[in-house]
Amino acid sequence: MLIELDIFSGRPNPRWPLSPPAARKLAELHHALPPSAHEPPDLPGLGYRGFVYELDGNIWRAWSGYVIGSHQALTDYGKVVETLLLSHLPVGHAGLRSRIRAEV
Amino acid sequence: MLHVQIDMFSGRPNPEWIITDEDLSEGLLASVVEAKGAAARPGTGFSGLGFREIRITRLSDDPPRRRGGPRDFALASVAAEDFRASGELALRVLESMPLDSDIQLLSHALTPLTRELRDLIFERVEGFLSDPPKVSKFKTSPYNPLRSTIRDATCRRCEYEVSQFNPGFWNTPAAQPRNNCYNYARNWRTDTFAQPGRAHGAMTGTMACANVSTAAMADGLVKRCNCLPISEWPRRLMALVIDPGWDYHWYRHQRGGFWGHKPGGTAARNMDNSGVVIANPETCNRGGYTDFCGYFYAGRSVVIN
Repeated sequence: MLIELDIFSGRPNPRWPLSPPAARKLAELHHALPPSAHEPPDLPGLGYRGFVYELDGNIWRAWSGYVIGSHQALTDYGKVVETLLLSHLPVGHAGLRSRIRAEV
Repeated sequence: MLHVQIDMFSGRPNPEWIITDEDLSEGLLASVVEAKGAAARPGTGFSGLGFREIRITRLSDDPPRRRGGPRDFALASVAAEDFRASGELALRVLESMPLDSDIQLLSHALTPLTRELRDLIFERVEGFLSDPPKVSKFKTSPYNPLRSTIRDATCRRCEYEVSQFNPGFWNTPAAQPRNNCYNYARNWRTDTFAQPGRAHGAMTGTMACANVSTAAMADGLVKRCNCLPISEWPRRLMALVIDPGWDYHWYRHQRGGFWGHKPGGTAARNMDNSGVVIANPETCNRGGYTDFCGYFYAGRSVVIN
């Protein structure tokens, strides 16, 4: 499973493959999330815009306590998906960790 | 190695080939350095139907024996300062056209390098050199209802063009993920997530004002107040900001006095991170892009990739 950290404007965003155990954990957390009763807020233009991944044939964006798909949004108030993906940020992008942690 | 393309067709692919002979390549590059004014910036000369120019691109990062030559240039271009010298070099390049190229390019399926094509190219180029077309140098800006020429409020002697904000062009599934802030600000959909300097071998990995500015200027951007002539129409005013050490971002001045931008693969917009229409890129909410680097003009000859 490929993860994209949506954060840059000019440079290409960081992308990396998630290990099979981490991908299984992500799927488990994702499938346990309830549908959101609220409309997610608009994404900011510049800066951290969440983690993007593909699961069950859909593209999802974990950001700001929501996991947002094209037709559905899930609630993740504990931000467990973002926290999991942040913990699997590759070493080469470790410098971004503290910046994202401040927003997660 | 050099890539040669004869820019002459409209529908089918242009004739092209690779010069692999090292001595021939080096000899040509040396001649271009010696014959000052023979090389022109690609795409800045005649742009009508028929033969337009010969485009040459260096394919390796090895420095040439004679330093000072451009990486990409055009010969037999009416934009060359010394059109005669440019034409003489162009004819030398044509002599290198193989009739049975060892290196097969995709275009050769539709435009094979045959003797007939070679004869046609020579005929067209010689005709072009003996009677070059008159390139219209605009005395006034061409009329376009969606684009206006305005006087720069900071440098009153300079002018540039502002066009109507048109995010729908960018915010489609095909265009949005493949074009970034640099594409938007230059107003050129390359579908390559364009990087400053990449088209001219001058890309930088250092995210600081000086480095990104230098890379963008290799693409042809000039600092504000270095007025661009009307022949560079349409000319854009762009602003560069930096998230120090991490990233860069560009804005484009739009018709109506506000600024448009496109953060990475997200939608093009005219609002800042606070949801406020951007009246001033120096003071708008830019998140972590805290360094304001300055303003640049980008004319039609700016090539990005």
